[in-house]
Amino acid sequence: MEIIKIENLSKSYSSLKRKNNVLALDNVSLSVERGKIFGLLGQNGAGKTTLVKILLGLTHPTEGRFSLFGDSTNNYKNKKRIGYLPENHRFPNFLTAYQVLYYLGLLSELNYDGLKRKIFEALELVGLKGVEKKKVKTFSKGMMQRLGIAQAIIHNPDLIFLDEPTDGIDPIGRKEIRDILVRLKNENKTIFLNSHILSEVELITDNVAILHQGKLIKQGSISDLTAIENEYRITTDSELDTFLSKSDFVNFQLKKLNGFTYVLSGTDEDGLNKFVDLLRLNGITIKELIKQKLSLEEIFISLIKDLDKVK
Amino acid sequence: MRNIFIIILYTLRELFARKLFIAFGIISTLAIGIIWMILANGSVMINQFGNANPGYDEMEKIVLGFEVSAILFLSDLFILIAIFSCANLISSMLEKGTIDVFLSKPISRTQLLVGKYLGGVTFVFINMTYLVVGIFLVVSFYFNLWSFTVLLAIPVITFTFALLNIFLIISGLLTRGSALGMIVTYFYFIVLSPILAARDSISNFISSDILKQFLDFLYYLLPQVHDIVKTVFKQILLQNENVQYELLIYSTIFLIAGLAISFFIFEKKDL
Repeated sequence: MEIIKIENLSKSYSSLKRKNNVLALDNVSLSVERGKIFGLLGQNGAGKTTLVKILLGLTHPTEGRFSLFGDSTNNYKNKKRIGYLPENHRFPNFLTAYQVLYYLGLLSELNYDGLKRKIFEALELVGLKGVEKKKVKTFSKGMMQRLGIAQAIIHNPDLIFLDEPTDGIDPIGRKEIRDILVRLKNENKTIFLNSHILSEVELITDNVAILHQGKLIKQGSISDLTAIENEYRITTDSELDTFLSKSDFVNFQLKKLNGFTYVLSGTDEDGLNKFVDLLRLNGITIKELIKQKLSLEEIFISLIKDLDKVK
Repeated sequence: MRNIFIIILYTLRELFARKLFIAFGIISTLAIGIIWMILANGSVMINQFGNANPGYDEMEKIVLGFEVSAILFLSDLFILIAIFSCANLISSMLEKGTIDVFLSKPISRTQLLVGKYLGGVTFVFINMTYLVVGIFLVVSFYFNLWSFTVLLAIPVITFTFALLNIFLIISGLLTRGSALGMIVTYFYFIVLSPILAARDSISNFISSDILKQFLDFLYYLLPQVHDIVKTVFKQILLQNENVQYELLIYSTIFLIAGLAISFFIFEKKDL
């Protein structure tokens, strides 16, 4: 089931200082399935935050439409099923962590009864147990980020928008946050993640979309996007140099990487199987055989570079 | 209603954190203390009215007059401080990273704005209640005369601030800052409103009919804060037969229209 459906969404900003309108989003269409972690990637100013703000009703679209939970009315009541961690969020300095969650918990339609328990559960989940009485003005960036996540999940929402959730958090903290997100996903929550830390996105997301200058330039599952067609890496227990010149494999390319590791390219699955059979016939043991893939970062950079070249 | 109530509480908490309740409390307590000290020489004061042994009705009028004078003097001061105190309630709410968190919760923009607006008004109501009740108790105990009508000052002055708060809200929404709101509101309260209230006298020195009509137009378009406090309130207390209730109606229309404009601006705003 589609939790988020966006159709031809555009947003332009007019400015007295500029002659032309600034197109922050240009005809963006995408959808997000329930229970998935969806990553929205893009450089700074690509339109990621604008898209989330439109979905949350903070900004009005110029054109296009969207629906959340199948409802396209943008009813604010739907927000009790939504959690949001904005980028560079601010909490009032005069409040303690407990008070922040108290007010925001009440606004999330939590009842007074049980609110205290939920506050402590949320604080424990994000690793802020024991600091509930501390004023947020004494919090580090990482603690603020954790508190932001706590307020986004305190009311057990079905859909969670996180804008740069690991910003300012140390590597161990990042791992903890990734674990929280995976745990939420396992509870059938849908997570919409805005991030420019591609290595992290790659670790936890199911699907990604890449925005560039307001346009959606690529979307799909992580495995589809990062896979390289007909290319495999093979590690054996001995040299394969004799096969490099085999006439049977003239359509293939076998390239030595290092040691007994080679890259086999230009073959489909049938060809691959034939090659494996041949190795076995020759008494060669295959230690590892994996489909070659690029990292998300490599894909992203290559896409952006290609677009810039076209321009 | 629940959301509005939560935002009112939050706003009061914000004002409390800025020590504004304490500041108002200290000023009010000092004012009440000074009035008590003045009353310690009460016989001297009453003698000033030319009668050392006034009758009950006359005494009541004297006491009421004293209370009203004290309250009106202090209310001007309080409104000036309240404008300063509440000027940044909207701009602090609209800060990036703050407004996003609020509006990601199941609360409408209208509820959020109403909560902020009423939070400021409630702040003034609480402080005016302390001041007026304090003065009322001190004066009434001293003279053993209990003119409860003086307590009307609480809703009247709160209403006056509610009218001025519209300027703060609209300016805050348009500029995301507090400076313009303060300038406009102070200018209206200190300069323009008294001028408009005195437009009949001023008209004697103006030859242009268009200018006279323009002053009349502004007077009825904008809230009559000066007249509400200085004229209508006094008329009610002194049981004047010709109380200008229509000024309260015109001002209420301004308040409703001002709030409607604020909701419209906020609803259309990209945050």
